[in-house]
Amino acid sequence: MVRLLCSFITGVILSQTGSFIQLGTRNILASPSTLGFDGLAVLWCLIFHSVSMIFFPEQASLLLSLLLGLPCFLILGRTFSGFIQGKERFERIILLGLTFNLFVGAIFSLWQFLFLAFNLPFPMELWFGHFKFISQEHLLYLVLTELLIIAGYVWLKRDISLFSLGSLARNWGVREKKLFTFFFCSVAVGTFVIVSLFGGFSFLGLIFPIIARKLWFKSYGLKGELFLGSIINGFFLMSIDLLCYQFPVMGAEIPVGLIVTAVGAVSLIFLLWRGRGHGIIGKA
Amino acid sequence: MYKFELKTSTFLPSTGCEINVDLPEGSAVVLVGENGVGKTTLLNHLHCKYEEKSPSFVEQKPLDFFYDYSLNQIRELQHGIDTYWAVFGLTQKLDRRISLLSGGEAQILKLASSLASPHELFILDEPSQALDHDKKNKLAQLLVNMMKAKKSFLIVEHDLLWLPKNLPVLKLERVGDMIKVVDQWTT
Repeated sequence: MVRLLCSFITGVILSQTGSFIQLGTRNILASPSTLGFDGLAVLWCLIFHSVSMIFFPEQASLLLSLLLGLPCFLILGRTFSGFIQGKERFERIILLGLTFNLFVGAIFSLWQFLFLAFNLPFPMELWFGHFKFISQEHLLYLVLTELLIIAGYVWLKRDISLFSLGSLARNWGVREKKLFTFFFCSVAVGTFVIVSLFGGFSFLGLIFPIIARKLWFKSYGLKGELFLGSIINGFFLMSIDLLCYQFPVMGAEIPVGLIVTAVGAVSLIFLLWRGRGHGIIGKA
Repeated sequence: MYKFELKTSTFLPSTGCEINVDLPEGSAVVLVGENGVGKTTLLNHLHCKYEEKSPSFVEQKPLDFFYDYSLNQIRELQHGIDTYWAVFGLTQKLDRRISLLSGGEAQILKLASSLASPHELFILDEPSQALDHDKKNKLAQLLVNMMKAKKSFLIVEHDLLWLPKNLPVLKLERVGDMIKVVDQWTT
């Protein structure tokens, strides 16, 4: 039950933070992974894992990692929001984020090589997330993160709705500074918590919001994407995780992050192909 | 009374400027000038300068959107906008999405969104672009009604024929490195 809830809430958070980052940048290619948040979170976990192995191998705790990392990722989100606010083109930033992700991938491989060479345990699951070792503590952190996101949404509901109107909103007194701070702090913290708890689900932050938008925005507006869509995405991740749990391959459970990324990518291609000609972004 | 005073130091560093515009409440001033004389740049500057008084600004740029809202959905988010749509007959098409609007309809959407916003001063950059003759007349009538309600307008426009009568017109021209008002008359 705890595992099901964890996978569900992870799907919800990935979908919502992906929506926030795409809305903030008004670019469907923006996501926690393409802007480098995923890479940074993985890097943090790698460093924490390595340092804790050296200095306190018996006491390395998840709580300590979260307590140390959360302020850093909040500052990161706040700084990033200030940097990105007012910008109209994000291609360069997305390319930088992707390059950073590749860089982290290279570091990850090198680290892995060194760990294996010295016969040390390496956190393989950081790259493709899974829910194999779930506890109630994990669920608690996830629920708290989601509650914070919902509280922020309720606080800034009017601004978020107006901001989603694009240039039509510019004369309506949208509190953009607060809005961007909320968007990017949610993304930074949400990504960090998920990567710390379960590892990376890199592609999902990009795919989930697009799927939610394609399927639910037309009828239910922003609420359809942010809530109905994210709940469906949560069930999607939960179902795939259940399948991975029920049907191990050669006695080993395949990381759900791997499967869901592949399925999500195919779904995205299908949706974008079907919806060609009906642009998500545009000018009139 | 809104007073716009633009001098070299407050405008573009590379371009001189000597323009004083007095705009009493409930009135409008029209700026005209050749393409490239710097009218839009001037408006952008005014928009920034008067941000404390928070004017509503209609830009020349096309409508940018990320979500393809229907007019009905927009109506739920921007209260009162449909009153302005009704003037232009846009309320007949509430199911239509932004991506499917014609150039004129998108311009009406931009104008209505700006005019429905809670401001006293409006800066309109070529508001009649893409509008047909009938819609221009409706816009003129709407401006007259809003001026009666103490709203003020600074308008950049090329086509003066549709504008309400007796509005002061200032002609801007580049004289050497300076942008100056070289002529004045009324519509």
